[in-house]
Amino acid sequence: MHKHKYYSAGFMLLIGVATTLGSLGYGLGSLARMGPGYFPLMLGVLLCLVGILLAVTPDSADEIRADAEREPLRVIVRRRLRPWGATVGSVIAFIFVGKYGGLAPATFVLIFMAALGDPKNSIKASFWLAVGVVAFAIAAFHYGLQLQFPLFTWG
Amino acid sequence: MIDNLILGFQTAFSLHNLMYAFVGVLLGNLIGVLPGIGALAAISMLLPVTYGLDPTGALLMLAGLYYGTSFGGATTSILLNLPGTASHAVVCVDGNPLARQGRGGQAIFMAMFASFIGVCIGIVLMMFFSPLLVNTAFLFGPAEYFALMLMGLLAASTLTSGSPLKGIASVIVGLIFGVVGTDVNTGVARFDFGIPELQDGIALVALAMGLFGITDVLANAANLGEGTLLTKGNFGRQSVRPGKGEIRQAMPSIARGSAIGSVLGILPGAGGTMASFMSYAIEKKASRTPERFGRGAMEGVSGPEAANSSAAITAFIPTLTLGIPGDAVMALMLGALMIHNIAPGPQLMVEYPQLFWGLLVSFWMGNLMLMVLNIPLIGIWVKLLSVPYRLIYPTVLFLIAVGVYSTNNNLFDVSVVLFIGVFGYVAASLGFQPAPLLMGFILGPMMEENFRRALLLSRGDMITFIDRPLSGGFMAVTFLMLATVAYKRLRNRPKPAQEQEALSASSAVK
Repeated sequence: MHKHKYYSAGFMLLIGVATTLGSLGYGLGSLARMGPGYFPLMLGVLLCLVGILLAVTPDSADEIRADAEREPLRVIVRRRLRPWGATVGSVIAFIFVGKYGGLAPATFVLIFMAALGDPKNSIKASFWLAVGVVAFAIAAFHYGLQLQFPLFTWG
Repeated sequence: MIDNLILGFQTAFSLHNLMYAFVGVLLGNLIGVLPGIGALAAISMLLPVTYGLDPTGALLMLAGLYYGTSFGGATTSILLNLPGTASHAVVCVDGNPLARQGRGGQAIFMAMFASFIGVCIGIVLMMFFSPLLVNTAFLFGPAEYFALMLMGLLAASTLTSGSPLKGIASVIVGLIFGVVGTDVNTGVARFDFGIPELQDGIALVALAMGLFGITDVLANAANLGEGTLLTKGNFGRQSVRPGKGEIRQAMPSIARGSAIGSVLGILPGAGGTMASFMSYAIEKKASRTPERFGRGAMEGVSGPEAANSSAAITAFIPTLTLGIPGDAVMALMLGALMIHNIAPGPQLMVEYPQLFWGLLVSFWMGNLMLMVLNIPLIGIWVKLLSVPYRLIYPTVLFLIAVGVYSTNNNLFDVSVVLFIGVFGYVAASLGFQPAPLLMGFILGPMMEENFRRALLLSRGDMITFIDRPLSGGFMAVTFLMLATVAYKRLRNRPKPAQEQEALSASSAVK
């Protein structure tokens, strides 16, 4: 089993190939007078080479360890889906509520959603944590640091 | 020379100036513990306040702010794995594991102590060698810069506890991230995917906080509901101060770090960051037990921290004598000077000796004040870790979001931090560590610029990197480092016993 080795090599090849292809569109120029695409092209090709090296050299210690893990990926993902979803979702919510509602509601939504990612946090605890952080945000960031972020806004 | 220093002490210790420095340090410290809000934000906020002061007082206050925020940044890096600035990303690598082992107080103390010693050494070196240092800065053309950065990047790839090849891959990915944005030479927007905000490139704070902060929250998802971040140990009063032996042990690393920092600090641009990464690499090489690095080695905190702060001292040489600010913070300091009608230039040391030396001494003093102020505070910061993690991580997410927003007052950067965080988590779970990536990102644009400039000057002749003595020397060291990595990998197949050891060590940390 060399699963992890090939995953990581593939990951690097993916980025490397994408960079190489992308940089071809920018104009290469010559060594003495490089265009905008020259340096990224070098990096892309280099990363592809490293990716190939990763695939052909023996497994590193962390890959052996990762391959030895008994739990299938599906089980791991299912168990962590809630905290992951809460983390990513709360930040996305912060962006939208921040744009259309202002700092105070955005902070509240972020904390409330993120806290619910942990099954041990009750709705009540999350609510009070969110209220506390909103108060801190208003005091420290809005008044203390004069952050340019309206507390409440519509649209 | 001694006269100068005495003059500096007199200036810095006048009651006024002491007070300005104190105010700066205190405010800086309070602002600095908010992750993402670094020296730059703090100084730009307080710059208008300093207009009314005399120039020395103004600079002293700004220097105090600089140190206060920098130290506050080290605190959050160690405790919460949230680096506000690039140079503290190195401190995260070993400081955060230390904090999780219940030794956070000691790590913070060590960071502070190392930084203090680093400043002392920096000042002494500056006293004796400042004319020499000014000349060194002139020796660096584009070819030398490029070669030095190549060496620095290779050193950064050793920042991982895993495979060095993956470290190199991380550096290259970081360089690629650095390419995003408008090309300086031609004005073409590269890899901007049609998004106007990306034409300015990816914000450094967003990258750093995403790679360390968000990635960390995602990685800890497995431990939710399981109490605090600590894995073992509890805090008593004794846990703040490191043992006597430990300080003695750390001294060589602090000395090496300060030496590297003082030399690299003169180079405008990446001096401090590069110095701290290089120092980490050297400590790892010099250590008899390199496998401890990345899992909580005290030298991994003390060396880079010393390098960082001694570099901050010598960075004043190009700023004040050549008028070349090394980074945005220095540029603001320069601006503060110009508002007071003081033009930076080679004459500055002669014309305003009390300002020049007073500033240096105030750096030293700012550090001393920090120690005095913070020794009682460390205990409180460390108590943070005993708060259940289920209450900490939403707050951390909020601090990341607001900190990133505050750098450009732009919600787009918050979405960048989220994207980078998810990317960093996928990369980290495949064994690609964030620290080398960050280093590649920081040095990338400067490296490209110097690479292109060097080849422009040599009319496309690659030999220029080898036949110039300094750059050739850097290239030789780089090549040697690569050769040792390759040799070790070929000779040293992982043995089962070593794996077992690595396995138990890593599970102890997690």
